[in-house]
Amino acid sequence: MVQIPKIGLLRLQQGTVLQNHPDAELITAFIENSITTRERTTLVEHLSKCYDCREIVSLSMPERLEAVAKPRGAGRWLSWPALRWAGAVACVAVVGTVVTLHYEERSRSAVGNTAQPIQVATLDRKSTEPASPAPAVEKPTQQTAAGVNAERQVTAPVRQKKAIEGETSSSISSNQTAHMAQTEPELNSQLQSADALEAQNAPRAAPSASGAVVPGRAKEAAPGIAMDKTVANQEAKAVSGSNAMLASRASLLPRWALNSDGSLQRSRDGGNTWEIVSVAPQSRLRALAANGLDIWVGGSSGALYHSSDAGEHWSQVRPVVNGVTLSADIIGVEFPDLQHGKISTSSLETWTTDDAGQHWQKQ
Amino acid sequence: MPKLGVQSGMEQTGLQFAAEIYEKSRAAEFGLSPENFADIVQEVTKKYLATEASAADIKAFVVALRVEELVLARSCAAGHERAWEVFLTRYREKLYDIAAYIAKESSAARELADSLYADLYGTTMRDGRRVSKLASYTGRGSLEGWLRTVLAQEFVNRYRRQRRLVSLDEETEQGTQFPASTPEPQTQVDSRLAAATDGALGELSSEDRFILASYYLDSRTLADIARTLRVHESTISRKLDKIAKSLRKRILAGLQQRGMSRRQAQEALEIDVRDLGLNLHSRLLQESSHRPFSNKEAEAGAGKGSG
Repeated sequence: MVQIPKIGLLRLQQGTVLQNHPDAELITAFIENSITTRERTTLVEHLSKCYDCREIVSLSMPERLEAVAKPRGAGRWLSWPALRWAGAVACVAVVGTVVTLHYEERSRSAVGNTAQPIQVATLDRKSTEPASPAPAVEKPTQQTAAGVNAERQVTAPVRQKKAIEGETSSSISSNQTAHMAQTEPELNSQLQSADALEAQNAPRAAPSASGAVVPGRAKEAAPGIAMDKTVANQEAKAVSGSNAMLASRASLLPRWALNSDGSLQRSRDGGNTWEIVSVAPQSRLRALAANGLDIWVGGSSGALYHSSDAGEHWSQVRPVVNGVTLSADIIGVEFPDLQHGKISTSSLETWTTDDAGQHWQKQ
Repeated sequence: MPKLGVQSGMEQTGLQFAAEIYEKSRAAEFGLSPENFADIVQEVTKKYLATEASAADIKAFVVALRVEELVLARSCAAGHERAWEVFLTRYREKLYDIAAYIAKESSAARELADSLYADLYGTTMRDGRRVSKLASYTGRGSLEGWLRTVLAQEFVNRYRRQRRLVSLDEETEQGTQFPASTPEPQTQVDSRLAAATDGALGELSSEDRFILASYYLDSRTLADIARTLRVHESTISRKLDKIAKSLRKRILAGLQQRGMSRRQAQEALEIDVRDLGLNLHSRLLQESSHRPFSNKEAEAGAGKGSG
């Protein structure tokens, strides 16, 4: 790397600023990219001259925040018409390979992906007594993958402390396959507007009208748009390695995370791209526990959901003990295995189960 | 969209938007009325929006606020017990984790976190009211991120104070008089070189200057700088190369404009400043003549409007 002249180094650090430091709110907004362009310019100007503020920004960066993957130089490359079309063709090939692999894996899979509704029963018993076959009190709610709002994102999310990486088998539901097939036309159309994609990478001052996106953090894109951005960038560099890469990715179990908005996020490619899984739009999810294909998520007002097929289908679980339903905010979910679990709430309650949520005890 | 003054914008549109997001904020759980909530939102909007802001800007700003966390923080600042229960449940462990990450040493981390807790809770009174640091949270970023930044500020302040105290203690133990600071030797840098360099640095964008300072002065890695600016690491690497080359060219051009020949300019640029008797290490340490980072003014002004 070319070194700057030593006199430049000397004069650079002589321009130190010792006043008008930005407050914590502005620094936080800068780090989380929820800052206006004007404020960012002013802040970066200050940071360029203030060692202490640079130190503060560095210390304030979340440990697991990852940089945006798209190199700035790629924008210029994509402006070449030939390379853009080559990227589009490569992306179609990649998607076709993924779909084919999924179909093959599905046909080999001996176990279906139908969701097993969780029977939740009221039970008034001590922990030493055997479970009695009490009738289900609450009818579970099922959600299929067709109803999943898969908003694909470019950036990796900030992972909560309790996020646990899980693994999924090679079986993919037909709904998921159909969903991916539906995104192909959208992928092709989105690739043709690469300039619009590049513009989305710049920090924006205002979120979308839906209010679902904080500026610059989660890109509110049509399904498939972030995946095709990431894939298009990779394919422009190495098409030949894509098949092997996809094969290995297809075998990875999904990873899970909860973002600060309380939404559940899933990655099927080892954390390179993430999608929001709409489990409970009205609830802010705070904790999750994943064990292979099994995943439990809990959140505000006792919202507790379970999926046994890596998030393709969900059932709402309402723990009830002595006629009292769990309604406090769930802040901790632990399931060391498929059967035994523990729920912690903001009201310092602990709810446990020994049979995958069929019966509960409260401490 | 017609532009409205902030005053009328907040009266007509800001309050309307505040009412729309009142339910989302769950302010009612902590006993905050819609009017109290609107006051908080209005205070934050006035702090950050320009004097004249369009209704669209106000709406976009208000919608982007972390209202649930804002309500939680302000309710805690007002002493709401339920709010404190929720806050402690959500953030107590995280605070210690963040402090451990910042301080790198467990006892220092615990001390840092405990002292911040005291500030968050509000152990000082002003005009009969508890002053809590949480009153200065405005919801621009996440509450967790804000806590992280406040901890970092406190850590940097402490490190600066401790550095001066350790220096004095060492001198006293050694039984020596605390010497007057050694006057820094005057640099012998050619004034044309200094001027050309200053001119070249002045032409840099603030982001380029930030990258240079982070890499060369702070010894940050390319990955760290890339994370801060939300770009790829390779982008920073390319930029650094480009900036360094461009800086060199501009300095050379500046020197030639000031009467030097190209050869003279190149020779001037190659002079090692260490040969000039400069103490770069002392120059890198900032003197703490300025007041520590503090949100105390914001706390005093923002303590009203909640509860």
